[in-house]
Amino acid sequence: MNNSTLKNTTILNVGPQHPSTHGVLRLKCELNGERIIKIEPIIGYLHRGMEKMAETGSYLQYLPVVDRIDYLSGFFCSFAYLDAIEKLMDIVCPLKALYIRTITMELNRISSHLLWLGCYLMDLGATSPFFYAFIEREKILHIFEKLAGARMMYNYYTLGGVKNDINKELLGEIKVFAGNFNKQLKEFEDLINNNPIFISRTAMIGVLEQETAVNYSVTGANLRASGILKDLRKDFPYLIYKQIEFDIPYKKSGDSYSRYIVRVKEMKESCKIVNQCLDWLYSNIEDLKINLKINTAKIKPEGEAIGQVESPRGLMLCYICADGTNKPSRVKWRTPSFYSVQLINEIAKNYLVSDLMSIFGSLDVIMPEVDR
Amino acid sequence: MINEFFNPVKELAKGLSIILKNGLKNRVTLKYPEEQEKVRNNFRGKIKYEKDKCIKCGNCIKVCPAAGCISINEYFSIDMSQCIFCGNCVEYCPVNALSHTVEYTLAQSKKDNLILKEEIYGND
Repeated sequence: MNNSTLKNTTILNVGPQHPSTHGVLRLKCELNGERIIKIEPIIGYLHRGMEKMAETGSYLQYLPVVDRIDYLSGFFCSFAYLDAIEKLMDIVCPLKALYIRTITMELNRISSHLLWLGCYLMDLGATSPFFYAFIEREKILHIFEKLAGARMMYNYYTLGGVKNDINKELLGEIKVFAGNFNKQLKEFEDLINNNPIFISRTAMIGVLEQETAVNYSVTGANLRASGILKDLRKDFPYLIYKQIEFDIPYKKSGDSYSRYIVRVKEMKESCKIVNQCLDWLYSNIEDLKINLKINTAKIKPEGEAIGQVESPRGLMLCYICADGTNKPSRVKWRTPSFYSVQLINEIAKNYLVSDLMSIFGSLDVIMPEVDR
Repeated sequence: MINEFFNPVKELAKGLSIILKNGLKNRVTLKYPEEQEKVRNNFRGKIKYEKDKCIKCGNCIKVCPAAGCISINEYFSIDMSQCIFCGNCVEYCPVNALSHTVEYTLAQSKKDNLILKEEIYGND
C-alpha cells in the first residue's frame, strides 16, 4: 500500500467484523474520493488448521470435522473427502446410497443458494426476501434433521454409503417441498428480477471478464455467469448424474445481475434433479442396501487420490496421500471461495465504495472455506 | 418516455403486492423461550450413558474427533463443553451403551456441570 499511484488517496478498512463481509474478512481499500483504486483482501482470521488436523487423527475421526469446512454445504465436503478414500480402496457404493447422496446434495445446493439469495438482497437493503428465503430454507433443514440428525453439521455420509435409510414419510415431505418450490421461486423472481432498484445496483456492476475468470481459476456459478460453460456434473459425471437430465444455466455478461440469474436458475435445475431421484427412490424403496458396513480396522488405504465435487460455490477438490496406516499422511483441500475472494481487486476497481458490498456479495464467498 | 417512468413504478407495485400477500399469511416464527420447537427423533443431542451395558472396550475414545472429550478410568466421563455432537461414539459402540437424547438446551453456569460422570459397573 505504500507505493500509492495517486497522492490524494485515503485508506479505508472494511472488516474484519463488518456484517456485510459474511464472516471475518478484512478489505483494505485505497480510495480516491469515493472511487476504489485498489483493494487488498486480508484473510486468515478463521484459520482452524483443517489440513493439519487430518494428520493427527484416523480417517474416521476426521470425517465429522470435514463438515465444518463449509458449514452451508456440509454434504459436499464429506463427499469430496469420502470420494478420495473410496477411490483409494476401490469401494463402489450401493445404487440406493448414490441416489440418496445425490438427492441430499442437490437439496443442500438449494439451501445454500437460498441463504446466499437472502443475504445478498439484505446487503442491498431489501429485507423481505431474506425472510422468504429463510422460510424455504427451514423446510430443507427440517428434512435434513429428520434424515441425518443435525441441521448443519450432518456427518451423514460414511465410507461405502450413508448412515440412515430414507423412509416413505420423508420422501413424501421432500416431494411436497419440491412441488411447491418452483412456485416459491417464481414469486422470488417476480419480486426481484425486474425491480428497478435491484437492477440499477447490479446490472453492469462488477463485470468479470472471461479472461480474468480463467486467469484466476474461478469455478462454479461465477465462471458460468461470465459465459464459460463448465460444470463437473456434466464434464466428469460422478454419482448418478449420467442418467439424469438437467441443464447448466449460464449467462454471458458476467456482471452481478447475471451471477444472480445463474444461481436462481441453478436452483430450478436442482429441483428438477431432486424430482428425478424421487421417482427412482419411490419405486425402489425397500430391499436395497444403503451401506456396505466396512470394517473400521480395515480402513488403511495406500496411494494418492483426488476426490472432486461441484459444490454450490464451485469446484471442490480433496487430495489425500495415504501411507498404509489408519491416518492420512497429507490432506489438501481446494476450496472454490479461496479463488473467488481474490477476484475482488479485479472486479471492484473503479467502482464506488457503495458498490463494494454489492459486488462482493454477488461472488458468494464463505469465509470458513477460504481459511479452512 | 412514458414507459421509462411507468415500467419501474409498475414493477415496484408488483413487488409490494407480493409483500402484502405474504403479510396476510400465518406466522412462521416461534417466540423462543416460551414456545419451543419439538426436535425430531433422529436429533443428535446430549449423550446418555448406560453403565450396565458398557464393556469398557474404548471404541468411543478411538473414533471421537474431539481428543480428550471422552475418558474411561474409574469413571466414564464425557466433557460436553468439548463434544461436537457428531454421533461417532454412538454409532461405533458395539453394545449400544451410548445413545443420543433430544435435549439441546445445555447451558450451565459452571464448567464442571458440563462434564457427565458415571461410575462404571463392577469397577472394584
